Amino acid sequence: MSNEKRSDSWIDKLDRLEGLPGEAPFDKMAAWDRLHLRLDEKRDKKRTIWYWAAACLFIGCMVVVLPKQGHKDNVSSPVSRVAIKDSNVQAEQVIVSNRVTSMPADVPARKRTASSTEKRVAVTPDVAAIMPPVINVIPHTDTIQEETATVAAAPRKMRVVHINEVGGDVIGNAYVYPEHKQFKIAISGPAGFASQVVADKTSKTLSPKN
Amino acid sequence: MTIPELIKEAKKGSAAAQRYLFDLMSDKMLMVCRRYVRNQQDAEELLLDGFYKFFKALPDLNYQGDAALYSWLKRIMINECLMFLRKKNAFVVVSEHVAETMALEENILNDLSAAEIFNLVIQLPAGYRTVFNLYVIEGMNHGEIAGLLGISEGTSKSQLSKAKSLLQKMLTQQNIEYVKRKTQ
Repeated sequence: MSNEKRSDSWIDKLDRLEGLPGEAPFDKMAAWDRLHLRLDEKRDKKRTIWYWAAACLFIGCMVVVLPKQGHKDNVSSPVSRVAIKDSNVQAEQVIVSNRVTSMPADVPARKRTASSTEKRVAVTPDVAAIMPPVINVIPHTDTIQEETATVAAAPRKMRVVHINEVGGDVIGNAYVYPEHKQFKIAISGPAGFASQVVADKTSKTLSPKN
Repeated sequence: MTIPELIKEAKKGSAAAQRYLFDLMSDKMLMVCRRYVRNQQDAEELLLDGFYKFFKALPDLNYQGDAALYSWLKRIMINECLMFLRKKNAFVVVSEHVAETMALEENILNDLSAAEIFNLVIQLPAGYRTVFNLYVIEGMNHGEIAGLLGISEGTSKSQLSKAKSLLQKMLTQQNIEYVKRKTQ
C-alpha cells in the first residue's frame, strides 16, 4: 500500500468528508434498525439450529434406547425374570398369595375373580405388564383356587393392553348387524400396536343373514 | 465512553455499544461507499453489509488504535463495494495500451473543497473511478489492484491513465469556472 504520488492534503479532505452540502442527511436511525434486525435474525437462526440439534439428539437417543428395552423384554423369559428380579416377584407373590389366602372360603367364586381383576386394573390402568405370579399356596382341589393358580402360572407371550366393548351399529364404513356383540381388542408388543374390532357371533347373536 | 471501551462492550454483544460505533463511523463510511458506488441506495445497502460483517468479525479484533480500526472498517467497506461492482460487471475492459502517464494537477485539487473533489470523482465511469480510488486515494499499487479486481496490471494502468485524463479535463473546466467566479 505504498504510493509515492500521494498528496495528503486533498485526500485527507476527501477522507474526512461526512456528507455533501445540500443533501438530505443520512437516516442513521432507520439504517441502524435494519442492521440490528439483521444481527438479531442471525442470532435467532443460531438459536433455532441449537434447538434442532437438541431435538435430533433426543430422538436419536430414543431410537437407540427404546429398541434395546423392547429386545430385553422379548428375550428374557418369565422364569429368568423371576431369577433376576427376585424382589419384584416376591412382592407380587405376596400380593397374589394374600389375595388368594385372604379370601374367605365361603365367598362365591365369581365375586373373588371380579375383585382381583379390579385390583389389577387399579394398579396398572392402561398397559398392564402382567407378570405371572408363582403361587406357592396349595389350592383346594374342589374350589376355583386351583383353576386360578393353574392359569396364573402359565407363561404369557403377549401383553394385553385393553379390551373395550364397542357396541353401536356402524364401525368405519361397514354396517354391523346390531345383534352382534362387538369388542375392540388392542395388543401391543415389540413389533408395534394393533387393534381389531371383533364380533361375537355366537348362536345367540347370529343374525338371520348368517 | 471511549472507543476502546465501546469496542470491548460491542465484542460482548452490547447493542447500545454497537449502535454508538455505528453512529460514530457510518457517515464517513457511507461517503467511502459512495465514492465507489454512485447510487445512494446501493451505497447504503453496502454500508449495512459492511457494518454487519464488521460486527460479526469484532470478537476477533485486536484493537490497536482508532486509526487502525478506521482503516480496517474502511477496507471492509471497500471490499463490499468491489464485490458489488464485480457482480454488476461494472468494470469496462479496455485495451492494455498504456497511455502516457498523465500528471494530475494536484494544486488545483488542493484548492477545491472536499465536496467538489467528491463530485468530480463520482462523475468518472465505474472502471476508471474504481482504479483511481484504489490507486490515488487508498494508495494501492497496480499489482494489488489487478489482484483485487481480477484484471491485468496493464489494464489497471490504462484505466488509471484514462481516469486522470478525464479528471484533468473536468478540473480544467472547474478551474476555468472557478477563476471566472473569482474574477467576477
